[in-house]
This record gives sequence, structure tokens and C-alpha cells, in this order.
Amino acid sequence: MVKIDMDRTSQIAFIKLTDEQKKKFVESILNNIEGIKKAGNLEGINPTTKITKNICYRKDEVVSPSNREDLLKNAKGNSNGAFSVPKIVE
Amino acid sequence: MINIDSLKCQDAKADFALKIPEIKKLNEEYKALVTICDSVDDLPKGSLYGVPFTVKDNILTKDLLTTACSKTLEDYCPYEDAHVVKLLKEQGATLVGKAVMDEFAFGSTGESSCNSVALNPLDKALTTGGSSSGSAVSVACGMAAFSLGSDTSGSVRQPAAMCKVVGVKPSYETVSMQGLFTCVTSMDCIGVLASNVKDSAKILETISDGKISGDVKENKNITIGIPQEYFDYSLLDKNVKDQVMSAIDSLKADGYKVVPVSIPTFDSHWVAYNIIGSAEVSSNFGKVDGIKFGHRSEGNSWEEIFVNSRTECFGEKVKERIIKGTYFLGEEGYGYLQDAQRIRTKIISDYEKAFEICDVLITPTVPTLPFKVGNARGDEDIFTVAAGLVGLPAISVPYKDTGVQVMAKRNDEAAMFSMANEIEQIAKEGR
Repeated sequence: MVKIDMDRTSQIAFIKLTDEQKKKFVESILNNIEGIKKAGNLEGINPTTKITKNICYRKDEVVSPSNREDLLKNAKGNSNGAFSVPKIVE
Repeated sequence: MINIDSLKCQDAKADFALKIPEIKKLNEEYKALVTICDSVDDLPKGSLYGVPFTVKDNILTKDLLTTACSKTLEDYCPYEDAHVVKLLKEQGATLVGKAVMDEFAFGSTGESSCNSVALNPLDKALTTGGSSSGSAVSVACGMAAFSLGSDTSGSVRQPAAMCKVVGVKPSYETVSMQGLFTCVTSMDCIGVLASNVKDSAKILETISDGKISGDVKENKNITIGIPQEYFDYSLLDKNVKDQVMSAIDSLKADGYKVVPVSIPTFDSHWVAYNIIGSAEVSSNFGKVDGIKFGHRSEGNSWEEIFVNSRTECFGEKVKERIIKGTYFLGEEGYGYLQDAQRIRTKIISDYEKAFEICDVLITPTVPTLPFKVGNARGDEDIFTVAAGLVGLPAISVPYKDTGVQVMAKRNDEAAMFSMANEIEQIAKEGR
């Protein structure tokens, strides 16, 4: 039996949904689950989470820090050269 | 369309000043660009000096709006260029504008943009494909010689096929993703749309920092694999099938060896992509909360600000991906995500086996001819999704009324470009 608690899911995703959206998204999830069931026996197969065996990170190089003014250009608010945000710690 | 070799630029600033009014006029007609540049810096006289290009609006451009065609980023102006844009500017290429796209690249028709919807220069009533819709249109109508797009499940190749331009996705991790607004981290690639195969190779060489060669060479020893399951797809349009088979017949006549191959997991490609993709999207979009990033809505608490910002500013497709991804990452759905990742393992194995007996795979790029706007079936990426899941390089080349897709082994862009060039020649000869 497939369990889909759409109220809980939308709460975790921080997105309010209409009843119509809830119905549509549940159908879409069920459709995907149906597709998984059709894929046959998957026992003993390792899940692939990344497709490159040897991840090649770029070289660590010291670069000049960006200009503080530039960094703050997209801030919704700033004070004393720092980002200012609404209180998020109760 | 513009061929890079035909451009002989003496003064990039003067060319830019002449070009921009023309671009503005074309944009009124085809709505390919969300932002048009009004100035250009002094450019070095490199290999791309004065070559006009556009960039999909989910790739960062310094001091130029980068909105991903989403309301949540409507005023976001990056303070630096994406690495690929820097590399192009170092060669003297001229950025002329930012291209319209489906919101955050979620879509295959360009219709889910919160800005304008680009129009297909071949016929404005027909779809442009997506999600790099504006990129394809900007090349097809001659605004730019090439455009950068992003390709996760076919977002460069599909619009290329619909607008009759070349669209190429490189092997995973050969082109830097720094400065791309990432959606599906394990599949996203920055790709190129251009008027011809050689130009696309040249640009890919530049943006891969030379990891991929732009030298397209003839190679008659390439063995072509034909994955039967693609051609047996029940919703494949007969015209598309016949046209792609005709290209393959011409290649055979030219002496290429053609062998049948099998991809038994073909029917599971789409579901694996859908579940894995949604999970990665959900995780990547956690940062867009109105506090750290994105449009901030009103609210009496931090939680209300999060919810209101995300609910008010994300479009329907974005919400669907995030909600589905949240489900598949949660306790109830995680088992299905793991199963999707197991299917991905089987899919990778299928392609490895296929490439034991051939060098490239040839398939249609899209299952239908360009359809009327508003009539998408939802299976537009059925033939392009595998290259994303497996990390393969893939290209779409215009042929008759459709696009022919060539996929190659990981990091074998040389074989892919060689075969694509052959198909382009056959198309030019009208065979």
C-alpha cells in the first residue's frame, strides 16, 4: 500500500498547495511508483548516486575575495557591511 | 543564421553598436531574449573576437540580470560571470543578451517561462522546444552565432531539433558548472547551440578549457549502433522515424558499418529520471527561501516568510518537482528513490554493453515533428534523457524536418562530432 501524506510533504517543502495541486501531484507520484514496479526485479543491484567514479575537483587556488559592495548588491537589506535578514531564531 | 567563419570583425564595439538595433527588432518579432545588452567591455582579440552570443538566463552574467525566468529571481544581478562566460569573453566573444527559458529549466516547450514565450522562426505557431527555447531561437533567427544552454534531460537538444539548429551536450563534468543555477546536480551540463556542427565543436572546445577538441575529423571507421527500442517506441511519429532511417541509409551507402543494439531498460529511462531528478531539485531548491536567496514575501515569522515566498513565486512545474522530490526523499518515498537509482545502474550497464559493439548511437532527437504551441504530450525528452542519466555526450543535427541525435561513449566527443558532421553533409546534399 503506497502512503502519501501530501499535507506533511508540503509542510516540509515550505509550499502551500491547493486541493487541486495536491490531487495532481499525488497522481504524478503514483504514476512514477507504477513505473518503478514495471521495471522488474531490482534486488542485488547497487543504487547509482553519482556517475563519475573519480570526481575531479578543481585545484584549490587562493583568489582575491570579492568586493564587499559587490557581494551585498543582491542583499534584501544590509547594515555595517553585512547581510541583514529577518529574525529566524526564536 | 550566422556561421562563425564568415565573421571578420575588426572592431567589436562598432559591430556591437550596429548589431544591437537589429537584435532588438528581431526580439520584438521572436521574443527570444529576456535581457538585451546595452554595452560591451573592451574585448581581447582572441579566437572569437566580435562573435555575438547569447546565454540562457540560468547562467550567471556579471552585472546583467539572471532570472532563470522565475519570479523569485526577478531582480537578481550577479557580481561575476559563470566560468564558461569568462572563457568566452577571454576569447573576445560579444555577449548580446540573455535567452528566455522555461522557469528554472523545468519544461520542454519554453511555455513555463514567467517572462515572454519565444516564438519559432520556422513557424510562430509551432513550439520552439525547451527548456533552452530562447537560445535556440536566438541562433535560428540570426541574433547570435551561438548560445549557451543547459541540458539535463535534453534541454539543449530538443529545442535545437524543433528550431533546426545544432545542439550539443558534452560528457558530464567536462564543462564547468560554476555559475549555472543547478537543478539536477548528477546530470546537469552546460551545452551549446549553433548554426552548424563545426561551430558547436569550436565553442565546446573553448568552454571546456580545451578538454574537448574542436577539430572535427572524418572517421569512416566509426561503427553506428541503432537501438531498436527507440525506433519501436509506440508514439514515435512515422515521418520522424522514416527521416532518421533515411539518414542512416545514406550513412550505410557512404560505407559506415551499422549494427543493431539493444537497450532493454528503455521503458524505464523516464521514470528513473523523473524520480532522481525531482529528489535532487528538491534538495537544490532548499536555499530559495526568501531569506538567504530569492524574492522575499511578507510574513510574521521566518516560517511564514519561507512558505509565502516559495508559494507565491514558484510556478506550477517548479512546485511539482519540489513536492515530488520532497516525497521521494522522505520516509514514505525513499525506497522508491533507491529503486530509481538501481534502475539507473541498469541503464548505465545497458549503454556500456551497447558501446562494446559500436562507437556511436543514432536515434531521433524528439518523437514528433514540431507541434502547435500548447499541444505538448509530455514525452518530448523520451529520446534525450538517457544521455543525462548516463553522462554521455550527445548532439542533435537538423535533418529534413527533424533532428538526428548522435550519442557517443563518455569523453568521446571526437566520434560524436565526426558522425554529426557526416549527417550535416548528407542533409546539405539533400540525400
